[in-house]
Amino acid sequence: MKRSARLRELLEQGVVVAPGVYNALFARMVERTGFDAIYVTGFGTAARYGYPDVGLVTQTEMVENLRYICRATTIPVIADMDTGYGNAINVRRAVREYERAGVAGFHIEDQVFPKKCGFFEGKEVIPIEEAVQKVRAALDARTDPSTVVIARTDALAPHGWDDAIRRARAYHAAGADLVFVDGIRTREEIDTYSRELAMRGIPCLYNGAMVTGQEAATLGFKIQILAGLSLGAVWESANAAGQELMETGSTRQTMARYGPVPEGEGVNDILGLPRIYELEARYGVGSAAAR
Amino acid sequence: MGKGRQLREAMAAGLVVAPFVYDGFTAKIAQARGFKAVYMTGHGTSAQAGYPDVGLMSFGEMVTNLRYVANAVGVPVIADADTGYGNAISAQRTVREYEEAGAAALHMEDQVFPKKCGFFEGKMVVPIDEAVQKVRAAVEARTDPDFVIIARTDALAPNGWEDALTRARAYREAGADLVFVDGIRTADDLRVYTEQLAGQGIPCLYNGSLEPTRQIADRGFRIMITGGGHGLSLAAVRSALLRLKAAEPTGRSGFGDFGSITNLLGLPEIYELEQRYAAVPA
Repeated sequence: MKRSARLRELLEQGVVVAPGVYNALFARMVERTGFDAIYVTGFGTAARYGYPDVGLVTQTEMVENLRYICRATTIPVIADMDTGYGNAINVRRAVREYERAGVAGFHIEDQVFPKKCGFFEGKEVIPIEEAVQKVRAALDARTDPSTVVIARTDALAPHGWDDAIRRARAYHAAGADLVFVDGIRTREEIDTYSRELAMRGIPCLYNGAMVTGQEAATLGFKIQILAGLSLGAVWESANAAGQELMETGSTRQTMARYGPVPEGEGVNDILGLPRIYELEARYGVGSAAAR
Repeated sequence: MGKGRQLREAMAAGLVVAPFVYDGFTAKIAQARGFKAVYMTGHGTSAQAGYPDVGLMSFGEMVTNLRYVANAVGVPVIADADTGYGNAISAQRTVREYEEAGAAALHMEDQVFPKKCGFFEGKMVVPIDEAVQKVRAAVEARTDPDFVIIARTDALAPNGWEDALTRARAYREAGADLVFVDGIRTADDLRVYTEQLAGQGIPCLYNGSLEPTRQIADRGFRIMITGGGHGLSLAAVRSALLRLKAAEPTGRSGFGDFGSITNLLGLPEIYELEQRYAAVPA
């Protein structure tokens, strides 16, 4: 089954919890630990290239990262498409490139280009009419009708709930499969989001870790993404290891805190090294040829 | 000052400890913790693309990642250049483009192409004469005379110490700035490496964590590449995923220390630049 169709099937069954990753290694671990879907974060992808999430990372770089991630996995991948990297025409190209890379769904937002992370200060949004056209363009651009189009609005921070709700409804009316109000910071905001949209028959995505998947389902959400999950884990562990190495000359304690990883769950197993040795034997190459 | 010069000055001041990094983010973390250099691992670069370290990553992919890593930090980057991605001619292209991408140093090894991680089973090496020619080619390809060429041998596992030592000495003779015997697994290996090379005035690189940095410095090594790298990152991600599975809290937005991460990535500078280049004065 195509991954896009699989994602639609999962959406029928309940809330889809998609942990955020930004490289193929972490994506494989998401699949290995039994999650149904993977979320690819633009914030994390920017970070891996060394930039803050302010629209400096381009469409080609996002697509390249997605290609590796999709190749390395088999479960549905939901990807961050930022603003679509330009106007409605750019959106059209971006959708085609994302589909070819292998994503099952993506979200596109109504910020001005260049965008900012949904939780940064100083966000600005384009007029609602233009944003609706971009959602239409994204829907029209699909070559796979199952590709899930998620319309995100960033209007909450600059304009407040009234405009955010109005936009979410307009994007839904334009045909978006799901809507996504980003920048939800408090429990009260989750409740408003749930009451005004998710519980009113509009499929919604929640980005954050303030509630569990179970609670998100009860609040009516269809997808929960945890955009910062792997970036936060890498920050915490790499920072601790760096500090320990600087102070004591070794990383033993930090390594012990996160390990040992069980047999078969280490980097080389996750990446399929045993399979490489099998292939060497099968094709009589490498060390197999020398034997 | 060029990156190569910067690294040479750091080596003159003592052991250079270069933590394993595999992307711009981990490079920035290492720099922020005060390290004077970072090491871009081929194993990690390959891992983040979804492949085990068996020579599937191409030159183009390595140099692209290097460019991001080198852009992300001000400290010198020591980069893994595997086998140089072909013969002596390929090795020359590799040296030039690694230099251009912003590396301060690279290491190139004597394995058969496609290579394997230094700690994997089934490594094979090319004949010493061929390997020496590649080192010569690499040294002659430098456009910045301060760019540091590190010649690695993988002969220890397949051929034993005698051959590894012969090769390390020959590569040094051919003009390598440092040599690097990879696959050091035991205290005994480390002792031989010290007695026969590092303690004999041959500049050496040590890859591992058998001993703390202070002891490696005392043994006479010039560069130590070490740390948790992508293995630690993966273990941390795994543990966060398992907490999520068990419905335990993973943090407010799941981003951990959001402010520290955005500061590290340079967000405050972006806001300053927005002010500076604002079309309408604020």
